[in-house]
Amino acid sequence: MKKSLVSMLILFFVGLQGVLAQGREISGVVTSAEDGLSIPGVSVIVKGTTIGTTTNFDGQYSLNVPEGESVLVFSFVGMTTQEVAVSGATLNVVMESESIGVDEVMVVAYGVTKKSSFTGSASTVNSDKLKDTPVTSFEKALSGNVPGLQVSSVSGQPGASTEIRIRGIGSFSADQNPLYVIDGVPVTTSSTGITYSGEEGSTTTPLSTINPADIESVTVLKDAAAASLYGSRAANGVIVITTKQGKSGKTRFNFSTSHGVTDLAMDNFETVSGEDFIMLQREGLMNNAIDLQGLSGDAATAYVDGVMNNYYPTPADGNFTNWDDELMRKGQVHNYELSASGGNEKTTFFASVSANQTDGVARNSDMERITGRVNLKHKATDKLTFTTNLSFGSVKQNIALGGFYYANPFFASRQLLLPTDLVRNPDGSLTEESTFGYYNMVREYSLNERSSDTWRNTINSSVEYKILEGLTFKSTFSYDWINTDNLVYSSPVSRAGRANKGEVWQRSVKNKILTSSNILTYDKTFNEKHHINVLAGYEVEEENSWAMEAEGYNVPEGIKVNDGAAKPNAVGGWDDTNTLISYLGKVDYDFMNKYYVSASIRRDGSSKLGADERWANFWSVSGSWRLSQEDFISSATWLDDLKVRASYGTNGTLPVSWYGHKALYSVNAYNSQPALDYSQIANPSLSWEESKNFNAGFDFRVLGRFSGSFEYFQKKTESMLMQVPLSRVTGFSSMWQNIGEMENKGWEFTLNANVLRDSELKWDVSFNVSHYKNEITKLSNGEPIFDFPYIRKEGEAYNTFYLRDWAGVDPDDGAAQWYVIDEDGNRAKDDSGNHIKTKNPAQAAKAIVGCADPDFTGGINNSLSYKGLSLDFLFNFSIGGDIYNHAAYNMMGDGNAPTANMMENQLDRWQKPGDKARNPKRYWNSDTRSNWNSSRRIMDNDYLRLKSLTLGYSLPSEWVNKVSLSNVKFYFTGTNLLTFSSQDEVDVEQPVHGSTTWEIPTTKTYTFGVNIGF
Amino acid sequence: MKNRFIYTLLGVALLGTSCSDSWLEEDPSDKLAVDGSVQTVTQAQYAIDGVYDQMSDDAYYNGKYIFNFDVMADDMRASETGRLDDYYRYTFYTESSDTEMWSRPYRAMKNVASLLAVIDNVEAEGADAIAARNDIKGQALALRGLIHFDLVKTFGKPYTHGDANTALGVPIVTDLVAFDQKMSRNTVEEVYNQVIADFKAGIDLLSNDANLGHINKAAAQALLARVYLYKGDMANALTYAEEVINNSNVSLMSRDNYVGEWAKDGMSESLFEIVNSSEDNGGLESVGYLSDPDGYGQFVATDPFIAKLQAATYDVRNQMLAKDELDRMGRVMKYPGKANEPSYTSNTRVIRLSEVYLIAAEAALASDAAKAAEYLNAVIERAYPTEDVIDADGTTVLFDHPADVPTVTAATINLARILEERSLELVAEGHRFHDLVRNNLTITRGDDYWGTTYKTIEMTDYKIIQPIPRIELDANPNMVQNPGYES
Repeated sequence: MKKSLVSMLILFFVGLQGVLAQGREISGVVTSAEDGLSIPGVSVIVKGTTIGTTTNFDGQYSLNVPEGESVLVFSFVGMTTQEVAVSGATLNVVMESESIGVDEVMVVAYGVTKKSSFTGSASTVNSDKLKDTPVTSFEKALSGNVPGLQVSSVSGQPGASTEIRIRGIGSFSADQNPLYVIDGVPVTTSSTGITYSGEEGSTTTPLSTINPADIESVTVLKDAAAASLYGSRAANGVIVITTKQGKSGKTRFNFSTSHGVTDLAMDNFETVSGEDFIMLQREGLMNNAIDLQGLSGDAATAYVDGVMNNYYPTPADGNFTNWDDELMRKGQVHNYELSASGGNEKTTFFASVSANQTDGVARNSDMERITGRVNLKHKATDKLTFTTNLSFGSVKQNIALGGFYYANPFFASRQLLLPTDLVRNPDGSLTEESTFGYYNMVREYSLNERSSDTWRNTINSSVEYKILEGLTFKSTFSYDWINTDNLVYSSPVSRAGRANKGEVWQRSVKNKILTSSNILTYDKTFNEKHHINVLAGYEVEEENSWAMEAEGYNVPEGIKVNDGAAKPNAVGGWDDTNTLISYLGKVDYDFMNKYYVSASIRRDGSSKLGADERWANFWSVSGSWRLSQEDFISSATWLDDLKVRASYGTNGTLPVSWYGHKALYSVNAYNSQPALDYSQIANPSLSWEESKNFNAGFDFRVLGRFSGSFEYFQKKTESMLMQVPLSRVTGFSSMWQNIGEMENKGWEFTLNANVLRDSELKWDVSFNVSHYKNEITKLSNGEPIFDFPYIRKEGEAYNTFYLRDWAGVDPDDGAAQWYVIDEDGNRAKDDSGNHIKTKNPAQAAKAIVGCADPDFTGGINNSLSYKGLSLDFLFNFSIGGDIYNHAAYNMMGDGNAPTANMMENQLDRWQKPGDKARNPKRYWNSDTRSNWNSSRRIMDNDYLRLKSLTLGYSLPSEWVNKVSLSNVKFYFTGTNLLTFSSQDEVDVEQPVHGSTTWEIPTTKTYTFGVNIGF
Repeated sequence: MKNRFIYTLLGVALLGTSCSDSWLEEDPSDKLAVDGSVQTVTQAQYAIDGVYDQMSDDAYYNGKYIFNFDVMADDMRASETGRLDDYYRYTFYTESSDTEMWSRPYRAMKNVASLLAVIDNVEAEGADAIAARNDIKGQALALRGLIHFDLVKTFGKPYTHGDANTALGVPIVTDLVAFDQKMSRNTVEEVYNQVIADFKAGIDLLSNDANLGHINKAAAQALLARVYLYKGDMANALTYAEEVINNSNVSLMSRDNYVGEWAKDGMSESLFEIVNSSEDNGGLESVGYLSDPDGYGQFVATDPFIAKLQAATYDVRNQMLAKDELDRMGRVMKYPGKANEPSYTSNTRVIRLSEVYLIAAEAALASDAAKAAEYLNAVIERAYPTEDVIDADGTTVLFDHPADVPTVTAATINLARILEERSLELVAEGHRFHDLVRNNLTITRGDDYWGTTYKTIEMTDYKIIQPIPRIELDANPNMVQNPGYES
């Protein structure tokens, strides 16, 4: 199937190549001034026309130049553009390196701009950083490459979503994710996958339907000047993705394939050995028998033996079960991509197909993706241009659920299934359940299925018409259709499906987003000094979510659809819509490329809010000054460029809930009749969150080889939305309210250096570091909100841990101790000034014991090349910031959790007077409450991680040309290969909120690949 | 229907304010606006069913209000460590108590309040419609009484333990509570007064007709008798119990049908049962699934209870025992599932006639022992064969009727015997703990109790009253915790 798709596509591309009009033939070779080597991919254009080509792999070009035209323009990224007059039939050109950063074009909100004239704050990651990284979704490749960006894996499930925070958390419980914009159109990232409760979950992100190799660049818009044009959805920043467009010239094909293995990046929740498990249980039982039951001698031993035989029998053959081996595995990645691009002066295209097969590290998790894309651009006349981007993505997943859920293989293998539980009966058949009644997941996985099949079609078309010189009208229309079919199947012979004699649950979700924008831009330079760019337009969006679900019971073995269910059980579904209308405008002005000012405004109206609060305005002003253009400074030859800039503006966040302002009855069933449940309280004053952003910074380039920037930001969020817990006497548990204010302050610093540039060995380094501090500045009634394990309190960071204050184990008797907390939240002292401790956790009040926010995060990227060899490696780091090992509550149970397996750290426990131990004296199943939530499970989480490493080798062109290829590159890529960290109990990449979960952790990958151009 | 493609392409934004405002008006597809959705009798019926639906949750009548209490007493237990540990071993604290036992009844109560706010405006023309509307209002009032009663017996000091006029009960909710209202606890006595008033008001409006899954007049009277019994008001308890026994047209189910009745949708002697089904709230945390060894199988009878019942060979209730997860006869088959359906589809019998007889017996004990014996014997006699049982070869009388029926007389009846019969008859229906507590009797668990502490529970122990959960204390500064839970 995959093969035939590929060959069909090749045929299609070949057929697309048109015959170009004939004229005067000019040819030549383009070489680099630095090393004299030829440069492939240089754009050669006949000046004043759109006729052009690009150089081939040997730097050669040939071009038909129409009569009357005599100047060719040679341009290449990183080289100074040259205009050369044609004199004969041959024209060889030597190109000079351009200093980095000069007038790069960057993609911004509703358009592109020159980097030098941009007054906002944004970072761009280009395809070269994305292309060789074997990620299933491109967001994962942003980590460490963009200052101020926190990227954390939500789950190791292939295709699962990624959590991205730009400059800290901008919101309480409203959406904290940035807005994603693909080729100018905002897209949904709401998951259509499943969680254990059958609700939508994070197991599937629509972003995983995009082939990372199709992406030309990713721009992260951070401040108001950059993002305010996206108004009500921009408060968490905007990530703008641009896909590849074709270039005119010879059709270029590229084929690449890579293959690799994956494994957990770190040990996570390592469990004790079977022998230690037995030893610790016996110890806890003996302590229980002697201290709590007053038994001694044979009676105590008999009690211990009895319980051990009952609950923890040592396997007859002495071999304990390693559930990690049974339920987890080494994953695999296989990737195939074929793309083609080219065209003529009127029409260019880029097209690609890809196939990816990723087997996750959990036994029952995998992903199979097929994507296709055609980006076409056609210039009908000098004035009229049509662009159409069509893409298709299909993602099929077998899903390993995360969470505190018996069917989560990671959770089951760590906590639920014990080394004393057997996988197989003595007769070789699989056991059904463990001693404590948890299902044998080896058997369950072999019988049951939990899967998701997503396909997505996107059409994004635009028409651009040049009305007058400088005045352009662009109309964009986009339709994005994401369809997900979820299946949860429990076989009648499985333990999970037995009670209902087989279960099938199916849900189809269709998300359809219709977007239309119509924008006028006017761009004009007056007197060669005054340049203005004006933009005005509007945008309309409609998002519809439709679902249908059905559940059936009594399903015979071998059938996995509801059709085979003898008993239809439950049906459900919805058909919901939300709409957004926006008016937007922007003015940029600059004087002599020296002084820049810009202002933008956007007015948004959303159906998610009640009529009174529906409309809001968002705006920004910004300016910059290129000092290096001033006479008084341009004499400094070491200084290539210096720009200072500042911006201020507002943007917003909408409530997550589509109907959060309305009083609603949900419709349930009772005795087969409709039953109304008053499920949501009205809040007609529910409104937007508004964030006010200040940003100031400078960009510099010195000595031709060092460049960088520094910026300071302050982001204040007001009318913050939060699902506020209510007194349960109301009959409701929580309600959306605008309740407070929060501030994020911080800075970012980036430095790029061409350490070695003029030798055959080249070395580039880029480094970025950022810091932010988050603080809740106001809560509506001043009262803190307790939101375990956090406290949301004025003057504290949002992710502040609020737990009992662990005071260690008493060396005399091995009891757990906590500090007594006074009314001011401090450790209480006795008359002699010593801290008072208690052994009763109920007397230990909670206190602020840590914060999840890191002090510094950043990345260091090194790129080295020598002839055909290249080496790239990226470290990212995080310093400061705590994690709370919430998920280990039972695995660090000190005996209180008899059904759970134990973490290795439980071995460090009190045994005899004088022991200074991490964990208290063990008591089996006895309610000592020593494992109650406390700062004992707070850990520092500083780390340095080798995020990615790529070693590549390009075959010499004289070899590959002999077999009619233009380039061949072999490479090895590893991700997350090395981690240095202050704790080794869980993976360093935890959710941004810092509480550990039972999601499948981050993986490391080893991949080999080859890239062939022809 | 508007073509939304064309609509967006043309630019709804440019078509003027009214047009764009209507474009921005969206309602959910699967929910109804609270305003205006209850205007007819049919809609009022949907609204009252919303109360039952909340009551059928596994945190309430399909689960926790049954098994959490039962494993705190001596007839039922947790088979092994697992879901029921905290209640079996009394290891619940402010931090770790079951928050749903507090919040779910109030969720049901909010649906009562929202219905009562509009019920008098519901259109009803003609006698039938008016009667139907009155019946719905009567159900709402009676359910409000029942829900308050369930809360006060869980979170308030037992009425019979004294100080009812000062001891804290639960907040009384008659009207919708505003989201920012921070209600305080009423006294136990105030709550009981509200409960009694609500039941009485409900009884005046309720229909006599049986209505599967819904409360009717006899059920409200029977529940009011139970309330008076818990209050120690024996005269009123007897009055209302006798009213049901004499006038409800319901009779005790027969011995022959006893076992099979539990699988029925509508037990012949039940006055009010909550309908559970796999379609709505039936679930894996229900009492049925927790009783079923093919489910979680953790809710089982204790060794002493099994022994007691197995010794009574001809007591029909001994046939209610089946194999449990521990391979004993410890599964009580009161939640077998409806015919050909999973165990969690069993209806919850909120009150049935046998209990009313037992209430009458207990209420009459002090004033009229002969009458008490008569009511108690009705339940005892029903459990035994109505004629001799002779062995297969026809020679030996295995069971001698009526001599072997362990009936009582005015002389032999006492409270212990009544409670013993309640234990046999009402096991696994959530009664035993409250029966011991309201009578101020120490709870003593058998030798198969596997916890370390709480083998014996004195009535002075603070944990016979549930703690107000942490989430409520955090969200509501006016809420006072029960004594003992501060430390």
